[in-house]
Amino acid sequence: MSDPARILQLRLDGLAEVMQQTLLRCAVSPVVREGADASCALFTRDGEVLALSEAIPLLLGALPGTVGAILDAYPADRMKPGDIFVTNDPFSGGTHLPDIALVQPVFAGEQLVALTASLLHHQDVGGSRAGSVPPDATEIYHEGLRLPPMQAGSEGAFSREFAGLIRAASRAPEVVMGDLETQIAAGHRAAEGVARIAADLGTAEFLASVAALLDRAEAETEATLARLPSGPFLGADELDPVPALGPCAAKVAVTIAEGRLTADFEGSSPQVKAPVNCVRSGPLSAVLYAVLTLAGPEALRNGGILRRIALRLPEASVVNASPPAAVNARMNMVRCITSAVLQALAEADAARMPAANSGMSYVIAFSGRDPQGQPFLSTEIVAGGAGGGPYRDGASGISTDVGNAMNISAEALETLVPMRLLSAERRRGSGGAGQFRGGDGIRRVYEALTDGIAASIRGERFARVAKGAHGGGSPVGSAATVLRANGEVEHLTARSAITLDRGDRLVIESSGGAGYGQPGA
Amino acid sequence: MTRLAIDFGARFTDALAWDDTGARIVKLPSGEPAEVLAKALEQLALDAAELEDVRIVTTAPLNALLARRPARTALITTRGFADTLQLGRQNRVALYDPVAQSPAPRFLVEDTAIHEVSGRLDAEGAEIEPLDQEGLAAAIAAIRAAGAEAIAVCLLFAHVNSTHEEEVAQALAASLPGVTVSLSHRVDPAPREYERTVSTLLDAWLSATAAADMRALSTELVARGFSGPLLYGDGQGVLVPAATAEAERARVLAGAPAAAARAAAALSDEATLAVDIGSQSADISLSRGGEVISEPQGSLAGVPLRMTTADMASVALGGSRAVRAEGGRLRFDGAEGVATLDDALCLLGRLQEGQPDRLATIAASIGTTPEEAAQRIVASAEAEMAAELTRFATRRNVDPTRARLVVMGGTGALLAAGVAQAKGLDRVTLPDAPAAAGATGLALSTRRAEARVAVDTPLADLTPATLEKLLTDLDARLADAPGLTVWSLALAARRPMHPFPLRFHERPASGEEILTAFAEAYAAAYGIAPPGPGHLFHVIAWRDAPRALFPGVPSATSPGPGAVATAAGVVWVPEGWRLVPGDGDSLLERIAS
Repeated sequence: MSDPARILQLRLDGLAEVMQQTLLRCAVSPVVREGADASCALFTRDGEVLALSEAIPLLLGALPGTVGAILDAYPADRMKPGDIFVTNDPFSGGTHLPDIALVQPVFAGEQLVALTASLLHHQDVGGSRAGSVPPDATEIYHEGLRLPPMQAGSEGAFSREFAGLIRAASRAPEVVMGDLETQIAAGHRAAEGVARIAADLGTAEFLASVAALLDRAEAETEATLARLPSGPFLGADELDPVPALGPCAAKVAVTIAEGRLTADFEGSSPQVKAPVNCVRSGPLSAVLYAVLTLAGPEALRNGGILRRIALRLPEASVVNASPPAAVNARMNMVRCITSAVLQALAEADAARMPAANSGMSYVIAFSGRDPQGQPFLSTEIVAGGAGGGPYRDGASGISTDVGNAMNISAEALETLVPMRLLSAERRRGSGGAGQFRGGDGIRRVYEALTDGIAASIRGERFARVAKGAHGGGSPVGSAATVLRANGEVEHLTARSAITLDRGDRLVIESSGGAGYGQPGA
Repeated sequence: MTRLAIDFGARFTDALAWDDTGARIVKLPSGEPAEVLAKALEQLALDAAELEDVRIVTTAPLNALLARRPARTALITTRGFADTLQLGRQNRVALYDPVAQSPAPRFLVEDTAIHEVSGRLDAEGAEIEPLDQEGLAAAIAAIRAAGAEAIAVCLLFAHVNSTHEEEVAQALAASLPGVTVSLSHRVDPAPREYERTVSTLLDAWLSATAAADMRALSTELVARGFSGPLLYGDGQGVLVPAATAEAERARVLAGAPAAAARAAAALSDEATLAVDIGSQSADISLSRGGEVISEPQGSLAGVPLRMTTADMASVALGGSRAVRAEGGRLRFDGAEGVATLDDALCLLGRLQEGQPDRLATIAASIGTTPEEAAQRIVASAEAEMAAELTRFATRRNVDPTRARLVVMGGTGALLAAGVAQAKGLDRVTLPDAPAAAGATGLALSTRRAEARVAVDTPLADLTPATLEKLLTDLDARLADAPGLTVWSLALAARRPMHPFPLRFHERPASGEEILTAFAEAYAAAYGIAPPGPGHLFHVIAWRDAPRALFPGVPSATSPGPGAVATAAGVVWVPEGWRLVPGDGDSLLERIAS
């Protein structure tokens, strides 16, 4: 491989991955350490993506907007070595309040040559419930501390004021400060690597090479898109209905013209008074993910790709909420948007696309105080099944499309919270039938070992499930059930906040993926 | 006194015998290891009784792993957790592949050979529910009926309390004597059940796949009067006694590529990117300061492996690999019986043995002549290798155009110039016996004696007296071994966090001293202070014996071009390139025009 541009891209990708691995190895909070709920990227001075880590696409899409918002507030030419900037504002490019983005400038000698950025799901940033993902929030003010783009430190350390603010707002200040330090560490390691490459090439040559890399990715994306029919291709999906809430539907029309992909979400539902709304980073993550799957494994993954993507988003909608909408449980809306976009793309590029995946994942948080009075909190993500086809059965219990979180092991969970995981199994028969079966979902059964454990459960696909492709069948929907110690059985809804007492059992079942092709074909 | 190093490869076995005055290499077709060993002794005119030591690596288990070859294994696990292997960590292999695939190595055990048994411990290791003896008996009966060569046992929290696993082991020993049992608390005593299940299953799978060959080698040597130490090359490129290799089977899984990596590392102190391309796989490694870079956690051949091992990538590319055209690309994973990379090399005159007539089919399928097809196959192999080297280096923050490149292996020596060229380089280094790099690496390896103790204590609770006793006891277990003791501590800022290895060449005297060194190492690695007061998981002490003298083999004498014979293997020197002999290696470089 004597292609210097590709080697440079691979080296930068490698540094983004070094950042990611640093977060995973050094993070204090279990949702990052065990669940990998974090993402990293390098940016140009102008705020374009230079390299992405192999992380959670759901979060990768949030980095361009937040870096842009920080650059708007703090122009690059005034940044100094060691400066630290943060934001978690969903309405400034972010996702939800626990995800704090941290941006640091990278200097080669005197000159700013790049930015590092990481996004990490923090354990608690205040708000009405521990974990800062209150299922009953109706406004962002219920969800915790909102940090507009701001300078949080200089000379490589947080300012006293910023650290004081976090300590005052969070229920888990030590954990949050530890993880914020980890984000500094991740940026620090990548910055060393970038500075070394810039020194090797010479700063001017580095900047020119980077510009050329982005241009090349743009040209490649243009060529990839030009090979596809123009559409429009339609996709639609919606969340399970909730009484008195109104529909939460994502509608998309994808058109491909002149090597540019436009995703128009006109017709999506207005935002609702519940935390399921998502902001612009959601559709951006979905569309970026979709374009990256089209681009194939050899593509240069940088901001050149984003230049060929256009989003049209209705204001104050579930796909592009405006303040003061609540957004903490936005993940399943993003999944919904992604399902709609992938539906549209399956029409454009039928040969490569499997049937729909489960289109959901659970976010489950357990919190309370253990018998010694110590507070505990653990968040986990439970995936569903992959769609079947186009050439094999779908995988069971696997993170799909914009999700990529890992599960939490029984041995980690039981060390963290007074719960026992009684079983963690493939939910047999939950995948859709077909020539290629949909993958099964997961069934996990937990038992409370103490009284008063608050469980926040955010799932989806309880009522509406994915449709099969080419004659394949639909999967079995999700379900969550509480088996009380006294024998009572409670069937939960997709978004529930409950209290578990000693001996109560919680059964979580995720939806499978859809089937592909006629069964027996 | 003469020493013997043998590298059992997929197609060829290299045997290297040396003493203070010189070295000899023979290359034999691979076969039953004990028989090949006998032939090697015969051809080298060696009397086993006279040998100082015998050093062994074998690629067979690694190749079986790459081929995802099933074995007759069974797994006993905690009720409710039979799907732990299948569900893995819920992540997928390729982020942007629309077809999500799990990296879980399900081939290690058949689904029907996984058996659940009731009985439960809590996170502190306290028994919540006793082991269900009836259920265990039923599981054992089912295993007996289906037949199994090796059984893995992985129960929840066995790393904290091993009693239930010991009970299972006793029942198995009584009911199924002669079947090997791998216990998770011995194989990989660390939390997270998926990773521990994989480690334990891998140990059982290796027992079913490789243990018989190891025993046969040992028996053959003893029968021939050998009484010296039988040593195996491990995954870090050091030599361990056969007993260690048999007790920690995964440890020697990567022994062959690690030995080759050692051979490359020994050539220079510079940052070196090395690849050993054999008949089945190409193994990439990195070295600095003459040492192979090792990593505490990683994966091998796509299987997660939780042990310190040389940081390597194994690519399915080699001389015997069949070629398949897919779309516009050539891939090296075709069915048996069709044209191989070797056939293409043979047609192009780089290799004597091959069946170039087999190229007709693939040539027809891509609409060209066999000669043109051969050129494209070789160019594809060189380009793929160059791409993999670049990917490997960039993932480790190494500039692939600046690191020194070493290419080894029988197939590697024929592709070296092409790989360099495809990477945009004008020079590449080959060891003096490029086709016997594994055996040479064994000759250059040191012998390690090792002892380990679990601690699992906050640093703050570790008194100087406790530490002193712990380290003294550990050192006493190495009393008979030559060399200086090195201490490797597995630490984390807090107990639930991932372990960080910290090495001491002087025995640390107190918890504070460890904490200070930990903070310094953490700051050097990550630029921040450790986010917690420090927790010590375990301590490993080892001693490396001084390296035995190895006089090397003669360098190649011809500069080329064409096929240049070496002490082991043929180097292909293209027109416009030349081979320049060095000290222990040769430089293949483009002639300045």
